[in-house]
Amino acid sequence: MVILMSIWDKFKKKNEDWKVLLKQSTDYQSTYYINKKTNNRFGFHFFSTLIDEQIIQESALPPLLNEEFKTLDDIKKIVPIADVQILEDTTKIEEKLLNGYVMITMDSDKKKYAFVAAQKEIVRSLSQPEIEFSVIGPKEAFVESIGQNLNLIRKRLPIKELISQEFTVGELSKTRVAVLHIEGLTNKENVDTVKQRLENIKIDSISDSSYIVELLSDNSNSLFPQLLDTERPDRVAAILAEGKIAIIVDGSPHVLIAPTTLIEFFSAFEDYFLNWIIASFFRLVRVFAVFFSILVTPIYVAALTYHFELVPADLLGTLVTSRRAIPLPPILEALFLELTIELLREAGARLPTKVGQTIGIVGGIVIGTASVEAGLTSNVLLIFVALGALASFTTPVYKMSNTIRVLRFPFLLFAQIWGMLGIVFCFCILTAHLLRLTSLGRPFLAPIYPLRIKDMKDSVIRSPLQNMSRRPSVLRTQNPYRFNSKKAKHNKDIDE
Amino acid sequence: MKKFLILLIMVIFLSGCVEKRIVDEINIAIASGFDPSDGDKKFKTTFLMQDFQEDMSVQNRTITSEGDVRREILIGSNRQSPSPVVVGGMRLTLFEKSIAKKGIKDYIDTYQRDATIGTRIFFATTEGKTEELLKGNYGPQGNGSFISDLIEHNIRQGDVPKTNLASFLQDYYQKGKDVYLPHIKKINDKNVDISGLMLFKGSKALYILPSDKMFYFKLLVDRYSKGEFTVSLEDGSEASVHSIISKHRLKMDKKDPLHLSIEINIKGNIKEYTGNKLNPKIIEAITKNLEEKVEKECIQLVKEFQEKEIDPVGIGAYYKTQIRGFDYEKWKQTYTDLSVDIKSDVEIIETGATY
Repeated sequence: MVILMSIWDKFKKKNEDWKVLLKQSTDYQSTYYINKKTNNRFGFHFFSTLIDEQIIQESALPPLLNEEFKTLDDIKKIVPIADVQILEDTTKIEEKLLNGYVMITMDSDKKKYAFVAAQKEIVRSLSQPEIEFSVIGPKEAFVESIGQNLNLIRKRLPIKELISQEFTVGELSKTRVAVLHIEGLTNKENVDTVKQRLENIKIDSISDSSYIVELLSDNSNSLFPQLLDTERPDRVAAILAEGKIAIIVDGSPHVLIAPTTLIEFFSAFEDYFLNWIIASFFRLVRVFAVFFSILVTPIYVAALTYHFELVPADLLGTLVTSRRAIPLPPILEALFLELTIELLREAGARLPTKVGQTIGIVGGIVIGTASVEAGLTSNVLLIFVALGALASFTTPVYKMSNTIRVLRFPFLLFAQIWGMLGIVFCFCILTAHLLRLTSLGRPFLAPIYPLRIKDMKDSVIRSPLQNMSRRPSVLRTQNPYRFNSKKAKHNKDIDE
Repeated sequence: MKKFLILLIMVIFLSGCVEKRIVDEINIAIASGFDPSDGDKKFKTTFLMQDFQEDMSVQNRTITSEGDVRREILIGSNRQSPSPVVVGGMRLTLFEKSIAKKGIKDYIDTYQRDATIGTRIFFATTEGKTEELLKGNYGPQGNGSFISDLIEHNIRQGDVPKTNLASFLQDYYQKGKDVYLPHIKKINDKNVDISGLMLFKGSKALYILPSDKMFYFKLLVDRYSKGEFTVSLEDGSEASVHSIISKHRLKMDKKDPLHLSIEINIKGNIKEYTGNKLNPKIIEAITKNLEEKVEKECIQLVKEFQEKEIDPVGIGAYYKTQIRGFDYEKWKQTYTDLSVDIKSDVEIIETGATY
């Protein structure tokens, strides 16, 4: 520890001597010019990789060479660039240079430094959302630039109450993190919690918003993600209006939403674009799929190992004949197939897209049928495992679908050890964990527990928009009403 | 961490506590039958197993052994079986007539004690040895399924009143009601028939109600949801009443408790009529005919029960709910003297489409 500290101190000391360090980089350039009228020598210092040279050549350099200026303060008058700053503070030099400013120094005015903004913005063009794709609805997705992402949100919420507060996280990466909320609506306590936690983060570098998810989570040992990540600007705008907080991390196309609830992970944003009955049906299907996906193989193992009484008499024949030639007990058979599916998924995720497609065919057809024909697994289980895997992919949020895939393994283990009792036991542990889990201090299992009937309108079902006149009560927003429901309800004819 | 360790230890040490019964490594008995012993043992038991074939058909296999208690039977059966015999998948239990006449109290005890056996299994008595009956070859679904399906659909749509383990036990332990079971007879190697209902007095079988009386019996003790009955009219034509829905209600006369009236409501559709044209007059005749027939036959049945001192209708159970301080011993005396009259009300809802 002591050694580490001393190394850190040395590193810091060296850092102070910024000129020496900067000059080591080959892309750091210092050039000097002489003004035609006053013969004053002035220098440009910049990182050539961070700035747009066109801006210097077209806007900054010509007036500085040709027009008369005596002090650095005059630069503001003659350079046609909006962001020109004159600073005396030497500690800011490093930060400004690394943020894409061009530093201008004058031999005659050594105490001051002028900074001209000339950032080179390389931004990926807007593309369609890939994970949260929707057939209808907006097709914009966030990109890696915080500025572009903020632009996408501000366009959707053009109000002055939308507050964006920026933080810098990461000793080395200096990642910009913006916290968005609507003033006078969002619960202050939640905003303060996010701010405080962001300020307390001690880490060297942040590569993605997932880092922030882990660092901000109430319980980072939990399997469940406690912050919802989305790549849809429309979703972010909608949750901001609901009274939640959005966290944008520079360099990440995923914006975080907090606080969140378990139910929210099973609602696709497309639900709001569909008729409410259809959307509710899809949500119910998704919730069913979760239970199905977690429980189907464990129940198969439990029923076949311990509780043959549970199997309907008509199904018994099918099960017994399909298992007769199989040398493995149900648990090994199930683990074998589950692991095969996991391998396929992992291989598919790691391989390039074009090769990945063949993995599906290899896995689905070759391994599946071959293992049945070889007598390693029963075809009944093959159907269950495949259906379970399919069901786990219906979860709209990728991180949650991963959680569900992992969750079935402890269930499988307990199903083997204690049968149905083991499944119940595991379920109890899971429920207890979910009950204790919080997201920014707000209950994760709401509105199921604590039971909030009014919040149920947008949970496993999606009620009509006109009926959802209240914001979720768990959030304790400053203004609980979205709109006046009495005025909103009547759709009148034109001649009424 | 401590909690986690305790949990881990618990899981490891308790993992052997549950008995494993992997579905393809056990011999699931789907039906069993009790016969009198050939030797000096108390009884002989036949277990019917299902051997599932590749084409999903079922081959029947029976194991027979003798013993004094059921445990002994299971041990004897396991000696003849390639894998342990389990009774959790049981759907049907048959009692040979002579066994039933001696009383089935000892046998049903194990059924309510064993938690693996469902309460929706069927009991039935048989004419002739159960071993012979279970050894038949009735269809590709297997004998166990065949016989239990036979009873089940006759309960749902036919004349057999509802009896399964749950209702049997309820009636058996309830004072003031006697039990009854369907009585099955093997016709030949391919066919079985529900030949009647075995009526019990306490736990002992008393006599068999023939199948042609079962319609009236079911009206008295159960409700119809989809019955069928044929009415013969005076002019020789016949009408078939379908989709019979029936309800019955016992009604004690408050002033004279020794007088009981049983109201039977029947609703049905006429599906078939052999006469010429069905007019309201004929419908009324059919209604009246059916009413009279029901009243006549039912009162006869009740009188018969009173004579034999059995109470499958549950009149005693009904009186228990009506009279404060009901004395069951005293009731036994009065039951035979009870005057019962039957009122039936038949309503023809539909007569089918006519052109």
